[in-house]
Amino acid sequence: MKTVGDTLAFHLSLIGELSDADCTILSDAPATVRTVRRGTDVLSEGEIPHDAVIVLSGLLQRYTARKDGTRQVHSFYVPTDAPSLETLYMDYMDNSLCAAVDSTVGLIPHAHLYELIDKRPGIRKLLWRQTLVQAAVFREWLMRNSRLPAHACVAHLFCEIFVRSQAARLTTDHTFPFPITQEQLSEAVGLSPVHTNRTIMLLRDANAIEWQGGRVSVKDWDKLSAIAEFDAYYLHLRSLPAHAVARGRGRHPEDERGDMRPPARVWHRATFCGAIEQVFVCHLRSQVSSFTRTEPRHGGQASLKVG
Amino acid sequence: MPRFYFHIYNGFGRAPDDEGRECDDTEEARAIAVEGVRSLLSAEVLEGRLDLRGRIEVTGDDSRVVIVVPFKDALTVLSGPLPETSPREGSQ
Repeated sequence: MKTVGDTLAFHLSLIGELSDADCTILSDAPATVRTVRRGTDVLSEGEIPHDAVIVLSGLLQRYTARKDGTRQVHSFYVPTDAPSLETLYMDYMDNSLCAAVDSTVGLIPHAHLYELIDKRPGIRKLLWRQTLVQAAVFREWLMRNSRLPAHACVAHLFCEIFVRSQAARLTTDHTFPFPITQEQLSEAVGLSPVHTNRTIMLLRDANAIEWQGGRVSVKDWDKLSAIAEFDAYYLHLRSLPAHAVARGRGRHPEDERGDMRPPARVWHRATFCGAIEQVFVCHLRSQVSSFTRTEPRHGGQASLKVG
Repeated sequence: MPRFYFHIYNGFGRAPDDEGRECDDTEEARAIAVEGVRSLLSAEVLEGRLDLRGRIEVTGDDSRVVIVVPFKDALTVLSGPLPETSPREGSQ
């Protein structure tokens, strides 16, 4: 059975090399499992954490609240994420971590991680690195919320959660779980709920995404990522899917694994066809991907009216 | 708490709200609609245009329209020349 430590090992291995010995040691880490109801804080502002939190199911978010009770959500955490590793070396929470939906979390005592940090340089390096990646993600959220127009902002968030979910192996058929309400989403993108609803409608009308029953389907990755000006570079994933890197820099040398590219509309529809068509689709797909790879990434072909 | 739905009608068509939002009463629903209009229009202004012809219709669970907020009612628009003002005290 997979332990909480295994989940942490998996999470760390997404951003760096973890030796088999380190994986085994992490696997045996003592841990407890806790269920958290939607809207409940896992860690509250001012609290002194004694455990590292690992998301096992559901969705967590971090937020800072204003005096009037309105909140800015500044991150979402999907299963396998470790949202609070920086608290290993921070004395108290300066923001709150809560369950966006009913969730399960694993808790590994800080005391145990301090021991591993002392004894295992490989683990130390990746724990350190993980918190730095978090900082990179916060920088991107700052850019997104302050610089991008509403439709690009929401598209960018969808792109990020999609790529992160894909890395965490949570996607099926270019669909990722996103079980929150539009109102909750509005707290993350800094728009009013009404404006958020309108913006999602635009992305739907553009056939870039569909959002239904707590799941978001990426209908047309090229369009969605162009609207968002998205580049997954800042996520520092070890094997970034080829489609997610726009600028082509920072590509990991080992990253020539299979094509995880979500559908361009042309062959997405065709994937519903029968077996004979499938052969044709594969052919078409290889043609499409070889074609799009030679195209400049920011073709400017996707534009959207704002209203 | 009753649930209200905020449907937008503007120059780009109709954007129905199928999720809705719980509110204490129609006053809170109105405040949310007004905030929504202001948020929508502010994005439009950043693009260099302002179309005040739209409205938000708020419906209840029974689909009956309970509130209509015309865009133009959600903000104060002043135009024309500035009124004559006397020089501020201390200015040169």
